[in-house]
Amino acid sequence: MIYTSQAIEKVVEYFSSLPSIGRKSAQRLTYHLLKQSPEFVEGFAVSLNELKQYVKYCSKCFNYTETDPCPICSSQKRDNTVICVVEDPNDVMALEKTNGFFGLYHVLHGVLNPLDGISYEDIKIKELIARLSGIEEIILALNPSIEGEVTSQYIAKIIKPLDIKVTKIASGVPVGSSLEFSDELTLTRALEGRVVL
Amino acid sequence: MIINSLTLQNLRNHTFTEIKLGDKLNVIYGLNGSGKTTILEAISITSISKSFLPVSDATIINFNEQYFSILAKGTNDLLLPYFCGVKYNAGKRKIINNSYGDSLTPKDIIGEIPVIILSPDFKNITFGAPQDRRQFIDTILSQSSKAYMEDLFELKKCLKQRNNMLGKYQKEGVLDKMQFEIWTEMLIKTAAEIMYRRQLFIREFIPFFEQAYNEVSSGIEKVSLKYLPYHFPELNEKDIQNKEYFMEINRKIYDDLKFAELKRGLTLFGPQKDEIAININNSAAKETASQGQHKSLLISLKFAEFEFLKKIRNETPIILFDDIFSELDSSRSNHTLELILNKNAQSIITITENSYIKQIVPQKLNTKYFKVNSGIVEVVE
Ligand SMILES: [Zn+2]
Repeated sequence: MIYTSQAIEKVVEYFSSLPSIGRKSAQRLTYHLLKQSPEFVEGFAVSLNELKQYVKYCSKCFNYTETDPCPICSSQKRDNTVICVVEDPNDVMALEKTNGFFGLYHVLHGVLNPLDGISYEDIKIKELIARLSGIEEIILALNPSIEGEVTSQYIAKIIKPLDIKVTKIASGVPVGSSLEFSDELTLTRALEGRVVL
Repeated sequence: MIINSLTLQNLRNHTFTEIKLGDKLNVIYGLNGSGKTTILEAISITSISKSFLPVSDATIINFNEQYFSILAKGTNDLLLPYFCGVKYNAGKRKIINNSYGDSLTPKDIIGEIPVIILSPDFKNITFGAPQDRRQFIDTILSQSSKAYMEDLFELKKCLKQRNNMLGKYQKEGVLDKMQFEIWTEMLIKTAAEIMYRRQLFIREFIPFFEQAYNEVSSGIEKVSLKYLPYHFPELNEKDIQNKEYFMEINRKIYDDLKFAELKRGLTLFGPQKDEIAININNSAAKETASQGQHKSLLISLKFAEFEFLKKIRNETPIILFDDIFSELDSSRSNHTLELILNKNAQSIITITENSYIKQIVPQKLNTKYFKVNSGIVEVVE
């Protein structure tokens, strides 16, 4: 593709490297930005910078946060004997929207996947084990893919000997769909219907 | 189900084709490479989500274009309208819509348009390797059960992951034993699920097969199918009543083979190694059947599939026979055509020659003829 400007080409490159954005959409977004006011584009660029500058992992739950520990981990109102284990930060948002869960979270940032070379060292399993003191229940809320299921069982195998209750959200979430896209009712039901592993 | 109209865009040599199909017999003729089989492939894509030929989606896009799209509009047995559209852009996910929803996955549409497909390539069902027979029953089972389709999908993933771990162990000597055990247990469970359904299916399917063979062949041979899961002892009536039996045996087989698996870096058990024997007079057809018997067996398997699917789905399947009459002598052709017409279903057959089939199709019958040349279809009165 030949552009009349290197600057355009660079931005198009960046956009099209993002998930679910193809070359055409990337061009459209770039030309859209060109039409905006300098203030808008400046604001956009600054906010992108701030994203990397201020947002970090919470040292407890590994969700994204600007304060460490994150607001959920440091809240007095949360039940700190229950941890809900999820695949990525989007899932925390989805579960928070249900207003049905008052415990803490733990974000694994992935699931076990030998084909993609993701072993247990690559996700936050060790970090989960490290924060188990005082915990009475672990709720596994991973996506219902086969890799999610294997990861759930893996964690259950480690934790069960420690005399901590391990449950898994089960019914409700349709197989093959992603937690992020499940509606709130489905998720609430799934939380209620969790089973002991 | 009847497909009333079919639109193809950029599928092989069809840049744009729109055809109105007849309710009964449709004969499509043209030279080899004219694009007649492509019409059957298009129907296949809207029904089982892919071509019945062993080709990838990318290779059937017209070579000047970036995508193909197909739209089939039809009427089901309850006379309700049904449509299915499939669009495929090279390198992207297929976009599938039907009367019930948008952005669907293949799993959502398989079975909605039940089809019976026969092409010269399918000879391997009776002649070839176990894989060809597994594929035959998987196609039927997938059209009749979504759960089975899910299990097949899980099996495939499970095998890939497990083989990856085994391969890594073989090459680098590293293995997360705990994770490997979980994958093994997952495989044992999925395998049992699939094996249980396969044996159940075969038992249900045998009467259909026997009946169809009687109709197809004038012979007095006795035909049957036998499910032979790899490494299993002879299955008896009592054992196969429950899935636990299959889990238990798989676990035992795994135990026997686990060192061999580590050594070879490969999964060595599971339904991906099943055989389904086709027997004629109690011996394996693969070894003993004559040429003629092979043809009869294949055609009867397909007619059995028709009756089975019709019963399970409660919907009349569409018959797609690709260029099979060139393989049959005139009396077999006559008889097969007669059987097709007796099914009282929509059928679409392709032939290279027009004249011959016209001779054997009864005049009064409402048959539609289409002539295909370089991807251009014309209706012939
Ligand atoms: Zn936190």
